This record gives sequence, C-alpha cells and structure tokens, in this order.
Amino acid sequence: MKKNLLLALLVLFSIGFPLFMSNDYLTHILIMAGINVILVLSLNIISGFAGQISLGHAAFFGIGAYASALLSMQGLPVWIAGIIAAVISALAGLLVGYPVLRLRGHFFAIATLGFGEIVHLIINNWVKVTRGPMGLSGIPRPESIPGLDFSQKIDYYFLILLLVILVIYLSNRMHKSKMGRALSAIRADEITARTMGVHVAYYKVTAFAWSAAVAAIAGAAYAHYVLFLSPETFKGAASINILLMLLIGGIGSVLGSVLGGLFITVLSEYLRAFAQYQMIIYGVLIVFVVIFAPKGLSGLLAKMAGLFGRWNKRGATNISN
Amino acid sequence: MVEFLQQTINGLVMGSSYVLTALGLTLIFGMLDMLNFAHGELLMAGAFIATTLVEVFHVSYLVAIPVSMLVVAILGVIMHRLAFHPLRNSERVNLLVSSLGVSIILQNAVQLIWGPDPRNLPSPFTNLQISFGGLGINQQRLFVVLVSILLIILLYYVIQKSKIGIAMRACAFDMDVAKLMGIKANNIIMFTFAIGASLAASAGTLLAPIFSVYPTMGVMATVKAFVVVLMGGVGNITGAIAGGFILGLVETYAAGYWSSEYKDVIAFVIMILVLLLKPAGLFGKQVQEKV
Repeated sequence: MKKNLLLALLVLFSIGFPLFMSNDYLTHILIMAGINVILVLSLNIISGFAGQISLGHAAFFGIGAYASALLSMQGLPVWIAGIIAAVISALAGLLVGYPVLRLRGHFFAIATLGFGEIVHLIINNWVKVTRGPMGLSGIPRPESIPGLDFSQKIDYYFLILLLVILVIYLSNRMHKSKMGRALSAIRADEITARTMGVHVAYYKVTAFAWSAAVAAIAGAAYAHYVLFLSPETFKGAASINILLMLLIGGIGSVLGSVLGGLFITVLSEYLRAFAQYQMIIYGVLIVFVVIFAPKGLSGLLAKMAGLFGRWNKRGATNISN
Repeated sequence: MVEFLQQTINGLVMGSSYVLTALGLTLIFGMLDMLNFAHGELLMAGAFIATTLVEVFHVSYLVAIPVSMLVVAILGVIMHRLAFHPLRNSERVNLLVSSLGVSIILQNAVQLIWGPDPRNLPSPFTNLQISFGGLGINQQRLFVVLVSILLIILLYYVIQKSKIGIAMRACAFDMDVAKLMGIKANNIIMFTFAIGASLAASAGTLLAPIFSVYPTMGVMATVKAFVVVLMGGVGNITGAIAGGFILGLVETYAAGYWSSEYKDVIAFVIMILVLLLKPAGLFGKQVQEKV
C-alpha cells in the first residue's frame, strides 16, 4: 500500500516536474535520460534477470533506430514502424541467441561483442541504405495524437515517460512471472536449474529476444526524437556505456536500472567539461563498483534503508522500554 | 598465382599476430575461467611504448621490442593485482566486468598521454623488399612471421618442458589439487599474466610498422583473439596456434577476393559457426561438466 502511494507520487512528480520547470535544455536531458533508462531496463532483462552479460546491446538500439527510421521514411506511420523495428530486433536477438545461449559460460559475452561490431560495420558500410558515415537525416516525427503534438519537446517527454512506465511494468511482471523465477534459477546455477526441470535454453533465448525488442523501442524513440542517425552512436562504446549504467545502478534490480540510467546521464552532462577524463573516470568507477559495491546504487540504497529500519526499530524498543 | 602467394604471406602476418595475442588470452581463460577484455589493450600499450622508445629516445627498433615486452609484462601483473586479484573469490562475471573497466582506463589513459591521432612506428625493414621471380615480399612482413614463429616455439617449449610450464598446466587442469601439490598458485597466475601480456605486446610492436598505432587498436585485437580462442578450444595452446593462422589466412583471402570492408565480419561468422557446430573448438573434445 505504502509502496503504491510512493509510486503514484513519483509518477505525479515526473509528470509535473517539467510542467513547472519549463526549460528546453532540462526537458532534453530528461528525454535522453528516459531513453537511456529504457535501454538499461532492456539490458537488465538478459544481464540482470538471466545473468548473461551482453556486450553488444547498442546493436539492438541501432537496429531499432535504423529500422524504424527507414520504414517510416518509406511512408509507414511512425507508430507502426516502431513496432516492426522491435520485431526485427527480437528476430536478430533470436538469431544470435539461439546458437550461443545453448552453451554455458562466457560464450554469450564474446558473441554479443562480435555481433555489436558486425551491426556497426553494416550500418557504416551499407551506404546505399543507411547512408553510412554521412548519417541518416529526414526522419519524420511521430504523427500527433489528440492532445500531444510531438514537435514540442515537452510532449515528447510525456511519450518517453509513458514508455519508461510501460517497460518498468513489463520488467516487474516478467520478474514475478514463471519466466522470471526460471531466469533467477538459471542465474543462480544453470546445472541445478536444469536438474529442477527448467528449460534453460528456452528461457534464456526468450529473455534475450524480449531484451532486444525493448532496446529497439528505445532506438525508435531516439531516432524519431533526434531525427538524425549516425553510426557513431551505435558503436561498441555505447554498449559498454549501457552496461556501465546497469552496473552502477545495480545489476538485476529494476529500481537500480532506473537510478543507473538517470545518474549516468546527468553525470555525463556535468562531466561534459571534462570530456577527456570522463571515460577514465567511468573505467575506474566500473572497477570500484565491481570490487566494493557489486550491487550498485540500489544495493547501497537497500543497505541504507536497512540501517534506517534498524535504527527506527531500536528507537521504538527504547520508547517501549 | 603470384597474387595468391602474396595474399598467403599477408595472411600469415595477420595470423601470427592473432596467435601471439590469443596465446595469453587462452592461458588465462583456461586457468581462471576468465575473459580478459583488457588483453588487446596490452597489445596497444606495447605498440605505443615501442613507438615512444624509437621516436623520442631514438632506441633501435630491435631493442624497443624486448623492452616494451618487459614493460607490458609488468603492466599485466599490476593489472592483475589491482583489478583481478581482489575478485578471486567472487563470481566469474565480475572478473569480466572488471577487465572491461581496465580496458576503458588503459584506452583513455593512452589517449590522454599520446593523443587520438594514428602514429607510425619506423622500422629498418619497412622499405626493404625481397623478390622471388614476380613475388615481392616486404622484409618487415617476413620479420613478423619469423619472430612470431620463434616466440611461439619458445612458449610451447616453456609450457611443455619447463618446471614452471608444468605448474601452469597443473593450475589450469585443477587449481585446488595443484595447490595441494605445493604449487604456489598465485605466483603461477602472475607469471601467466606476465607471459600473456608480453606476447600481446610483441604482437603490437611487430605489427605497428605495417599498420598504424592508435588508442583503440586493442578493441578489434581482443575480439579477434577471442574468436581464435574459441576456434582452438579454451585453454588449448595448439588449437590457438592453428586457429590464429587459419583465421589470418581466411580473412586475408576474403579481403583480397571478396570485400575488404566486410572482412571483419568473416571472423564473427566463423565464430558463430564454430559455436553452433563445434562448441568445444575445432580441435577440442566436448567435456561434460562436473557438478
């Protein structure tokens, strides 16, 4: 009950915040943060819930962005193009996931890294379709719907907010479903999970396809907001950036994914002046988080809540004494 | 025919650099069950150190190679102590992630020190040609292949015959039993990191005069080395040697006769095929995992 109230307040705040602080720059950062949050949540499905580290997630982001942009430039409504892009990306996920996820161990990480490079190479070299390094321009905005006209940044913000809420809902539902429990078992120990009758390969591949589809939706949202795509955005460093956000936030946690996405997006804005040191700082952050705080921000938050709870309880017992 | 021979030599050059990079990776992978994503960065560091030695300190290229190998070996050990050793009892995935962090740090540190622009490492062999009939062979390419083969034979001998090599194989086979037999596992792991790092550095310094030297050159090297490791089978030295040369040759033929833009895609197609058809590697046996 208390949790629901908190959630409702949070949503109200997210809706109200940009209305009162109408500032294009701030709204822009919030939109980018929302897109990053969707990406991190999508990575969390395969790397958090299922425990399979993917190092090529920017590939699905790129597939979603380019597929949706190209389809809509052919005259398809943006809304339908976005959905088709998600389906294409899920199929690509199946194609990569099927051979690799049947295997145990680190093969998945290597294969996704390779896949990320392939997709970047194709986007960069298939000039006839993607216009290669020159970049793709002339992408249409989403068609307006009653009440929302997406040429306004603030309206686009609401769209992203809605998507973020949907993906959070999807993640939570998935985590609590039969599939979520199967994935938790796989993450803890594959051999034990298989012994208990969990169809390991099926669940891993399904989780990966979902993960790819959600990442593609983030890609479509990005493409129809920025209206210009360049291969640079989807290279290997972007995949690492998504993973970084997930690690900082807390791998496996939905709250952590949201926090991580927000935190790193805002931090990147502030570190812009120190752009050349930014990546080194991130590298050091990764090593530190893994060694000293493997549960990330959400783990720290839980620890703090635990301390607070204990302190509260102690206070209560003191009073009763 | 001449073109084919030319391509074969180029393939052997690429192949020998893949072998040198993959050997260290497969040793660590087999021993610690760890993917070291910072391995290619050691190759890059080796190339940069050699370039600085030659350009700034006017050291001869032939001296710069062993010096940079030594420096990078020390760098490899430091990397292990700071980023990997503290994680020895945690999940394997954490080691992978930590190595990603190290890779980002090294890449960007080098970029800060030397700048992002590509550089050239001058070598006394670059402009010399040997010709057989219509076939012209660049001496640097010949030098790369010869030195690589020498290093590979040396490593093979050390691992098969020397006491420390036997200890390394024991650790890779079963770390706990090796410890019980009185092997100082920590020292062996450090030694393995040092050897792997210096081999990667040798690949970097050997290839640098042919291609240019830039901070992100290690990324592709890491990826290719992983493909080679998978082709050969994890922890399999002979497999890595064969896999590296096969990949180098196939890639070069593909670039020569098909498309040079998509030659990097070949490596991944090979990798996916190997994982699909022979997941234990081209030369490995499928082993049932013990619980």
